[in-house]
Amino acid sequence: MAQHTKAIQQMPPQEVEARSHGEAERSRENVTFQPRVDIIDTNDEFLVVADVPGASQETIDVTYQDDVLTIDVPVEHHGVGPVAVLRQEYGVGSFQRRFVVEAPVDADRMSAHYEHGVLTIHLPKAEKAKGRRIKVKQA
Amino acid sequence: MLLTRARMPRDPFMALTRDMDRLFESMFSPSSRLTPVEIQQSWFSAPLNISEDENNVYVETELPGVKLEDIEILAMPEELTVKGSREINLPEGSRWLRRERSAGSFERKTTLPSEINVDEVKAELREGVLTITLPKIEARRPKRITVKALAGGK
Repeated sequence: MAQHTKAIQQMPPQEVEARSHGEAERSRENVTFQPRVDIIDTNDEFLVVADVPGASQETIDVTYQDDVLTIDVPVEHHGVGPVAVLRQEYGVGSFQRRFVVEAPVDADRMSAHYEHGVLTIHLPKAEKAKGRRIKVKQA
Repeated sequence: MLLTRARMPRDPFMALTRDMDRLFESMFSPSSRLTPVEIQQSWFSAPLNISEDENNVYVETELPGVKLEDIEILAMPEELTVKGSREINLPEGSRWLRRERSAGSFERKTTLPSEINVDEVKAELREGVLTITLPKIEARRPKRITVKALAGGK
């Protein structure tokens, strides 16, 4: 039961700064944020759930390559026009995060959906990685 | 949404990064082998960004995964309250491998920079971002004054 405890691991983050639903990673050009992520192990798949508010579904990019899952969520500032900022408690920018997936998964059947600012990625386990219920025959 | 199952040749640098990651994991978090759930949760908060222009005060907050019916907005002439909650449920027969997203209820109260018309407040929830538009009352808006030149000596 515990074999996938560390099935999906986070890549080490760079510099971080606080954001409401994640942490920021500063690069030369702009600021990207690390979204907060839940990872759930169901029997058949891994669910990777990320808080990435303010994106649009068309521009979200989820990549699985060489056991690395990359979540790339561009967010543009949804400004209401020329305004004077009175208080800013969170920054707005794109989200990015990577995980090493150490468990065998069937990435060809990977799927994802975006709803209410939450990205859910379904990463089905490879057949051999699934737990099997073995029937014991009576001798 | 773009889903890529890439089949590119292995990047040696990436392989190194991954080895480093494993090393770090085993060196610094041996206890995580005993406790499958990494609890890094915090209470749900609703951070506010507040701005204004001539006619309106705008209050924005990020509420991913919060349902419309779970949000309550109370507008008073000089004060705004936003409250709500979200639940995160574990599907039956599943278990957490990582848990960072917060759940629970939040309540934020803020004074407004200018008196607003409570009857005309509008709120919109789009992809987890709540935008509240609060129109300033007429009398508080800056007035543009036209200065007429007086023709001298009548």
